[in-house]
Amino acid sequence: MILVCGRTADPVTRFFCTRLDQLRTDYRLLDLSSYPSTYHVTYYRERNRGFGTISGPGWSLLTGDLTGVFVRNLEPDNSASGSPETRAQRVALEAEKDLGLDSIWAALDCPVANPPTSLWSNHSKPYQTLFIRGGRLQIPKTLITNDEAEAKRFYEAAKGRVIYKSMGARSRGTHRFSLNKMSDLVSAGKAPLQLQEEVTGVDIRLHVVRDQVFATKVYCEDTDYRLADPKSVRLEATTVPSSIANECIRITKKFGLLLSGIDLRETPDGRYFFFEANTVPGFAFYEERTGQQISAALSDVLTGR
Amino acid sequence: MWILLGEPITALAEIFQSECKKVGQHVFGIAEFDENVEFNWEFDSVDSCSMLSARELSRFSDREITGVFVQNPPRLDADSAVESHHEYSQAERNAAMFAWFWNLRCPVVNRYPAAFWFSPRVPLSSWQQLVIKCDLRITDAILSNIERDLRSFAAKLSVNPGYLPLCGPDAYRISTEEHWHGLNKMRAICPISVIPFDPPVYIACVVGDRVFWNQPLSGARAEYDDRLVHLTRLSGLDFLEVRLCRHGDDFAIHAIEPFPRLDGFSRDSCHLIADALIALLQSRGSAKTARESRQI
Repeated sequence: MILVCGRTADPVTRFFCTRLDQLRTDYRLLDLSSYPSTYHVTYYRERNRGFGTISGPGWSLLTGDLTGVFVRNLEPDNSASGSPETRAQRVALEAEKDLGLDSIWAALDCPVANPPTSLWSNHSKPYQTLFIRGGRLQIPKTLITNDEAEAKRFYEAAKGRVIYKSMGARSRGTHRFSLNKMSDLVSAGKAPLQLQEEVTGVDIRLHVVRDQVFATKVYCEDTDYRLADPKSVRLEATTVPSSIANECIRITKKFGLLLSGIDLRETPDGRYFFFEANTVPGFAFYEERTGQQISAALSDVLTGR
Repeated sequence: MWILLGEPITALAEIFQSECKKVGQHVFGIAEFDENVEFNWEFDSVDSCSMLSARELSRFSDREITGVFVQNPPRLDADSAVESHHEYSQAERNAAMFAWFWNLRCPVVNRYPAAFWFSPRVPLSSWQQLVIKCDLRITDAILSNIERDLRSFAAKLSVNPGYLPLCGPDAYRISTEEHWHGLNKMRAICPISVIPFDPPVYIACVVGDRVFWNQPLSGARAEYDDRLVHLTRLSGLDFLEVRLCRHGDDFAIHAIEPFPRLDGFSRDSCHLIADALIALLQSRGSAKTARESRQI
C-alpha cells in the first residue's frame, strides 16, 4: 500500500492521486491541509525498531504494511485559525509537526520519495553545482559577488551575455543581467548575487525515478520558462545520450533521492550544462503535456514492483 | 589563517579564539556574509577561486585559508508577519556560505551535509541505521496525537516519562496532571513525543577520536567512547554532541547534536574541547600538506 502525503490543493499531489486511480494502484492520502486534526498517528520506537499506525477518515494503516511513501510538503500552512500569534511561533510549531512525520518516514524500511534528509541540497544551488563537478555535466562560468567592480568585469568578459538567479530555495527565477540593474542588485552590504554566463541551447528537464529517466525538451522564448505563460512553453519528450542519463541517475543517488527533476541545457555542440536538481519536482506539468509515464514509474517503485 | 565561521557557539567561541592565540594561530571570525564582508567567488567546471575582505582584514584568497571551524548556521529571522526581502537575502547569504565552505580545499570541521545546515533539525530516527551499526541505542519513544496511547505508554515505563520536543535536544519530565494538560493542548497542533526520562543527562562531546563527558560516566566508559567516535566518523562529522540517559544497565541516546551547544560543560572542559579542535585542525592541515608534497 502506498501512502501519499501532500496537500489536495497542490496540483502535483492531485495529479499523482488521479494517476494512481487510473493505474488501479492502492493508496491512501494523508492530506497535510487537515493534518493532524483528522488523522490519528501513533508511532513507537522500541529497541531501535519502529512500528505504528496512521489512521485517516475511513482507513487505518500499519506502517509495516506500507510499500512506499510519496511525500510532497512544499508550503507550510501558517495561516490556520487558532494558531499562535507570532510568525516565529507558527514556524516553530509547523517545524515540530513536519518533524513528527519526517521521523516516521526516516524510520521506514520501504522506499520514500523523497527521504526527508535528502530534500535540502537544493537550498544551495552553487553547492549542488559543485557537488556534481568532475562528471560528464558542465558547469556554467559563475560569479557570486557583492562587489560592483567584479560584477562589471564578469559582465564585460562574457560580452554582456549574463543572467542572475537565486542561490537558495526561495527562487525568484532566472533573469537577464544588465549594467543598469547593477546598483539595484550588486553592492557592498547586499547579499552576494549569483551571476552566470548565459549558455546557448535548449532546456531539458530530466526526471529520474530511481533508475528510469524521462527527458523533456523545453522550448520557450523567455529567459526562465518557469516564469513564462504556460501557453508559450512547448514541451517535447526526448532522449539524451546514455552517458548523460547515467550521470543523472548517479547524481540522484548521490543526493539520496528516489525522484529528482534535473535542469540541464544542451548546447548546439552537444555539451550538457547542469543547473540544479529539484528535490521536490513538479513532474505533473511535464507528464500532462508529453504523456511520459513518470507517475507509473513512481507507482512501480513505491509498490515494490 | 583559520576562519571561525557561522553564528558563535556561545560557550566556546571566545575560548577557541584565545586558545588559538596561545598557539600562535591567527583566526578570524565571520558570522555571516553580511555588509562587513566583501565576497567574490568564481567557478566553472574546472576552477574555483574566491576572495574575501572583511573589516580590518585586507583582501585574501581562499588559498590562504588553512583551516575552518564551522559553528552554527546563521539564524533566519522569522519574526515578521510575512516573508520579507530581508529573509530572502539571509537565505541567499546562507546558501552562498554553505557552498563556499563545502568547497574549500583546507580542513573544515565540520563539513556539514546540506540536511544539517538547512533543516530546522534532522529527526533522531534518521540516525537509526548509524546508531545500530555502532552498537548504540536510541531511546524508546512514542510519537502520537492520541492521549490514550501516550498515557498508556507512559504508564508502562519503569521510570518517569519525559516530553522530548522533536525540534530541540532537551527533554522535560512529565510528573503532574498540569503537564499532561499542557501536552494535550500541543497535541491538537502536532503529535508529541514521550520518552522514558531518567536524569541525569550525560552529554558526550566527540572531537575527532576524543570524547569529553559533562560528568563522570560510571561503568564501561571506554566502550562508549569507541562507539561514539565510530558514530561520529560514520556520519562524516568530526565534532558532535550526544545526549544520553540511563536505560537499565545501558545508555540510550535521546538527542544527537551536529551543532554542539556545550552548555552542559564546565569552562575547563570547554578549554579542553577547544584544544582538541585546534589539534584536530592542525593535524588535518599537516596531513594535507604532506599529501600535497607527495603529489609534487
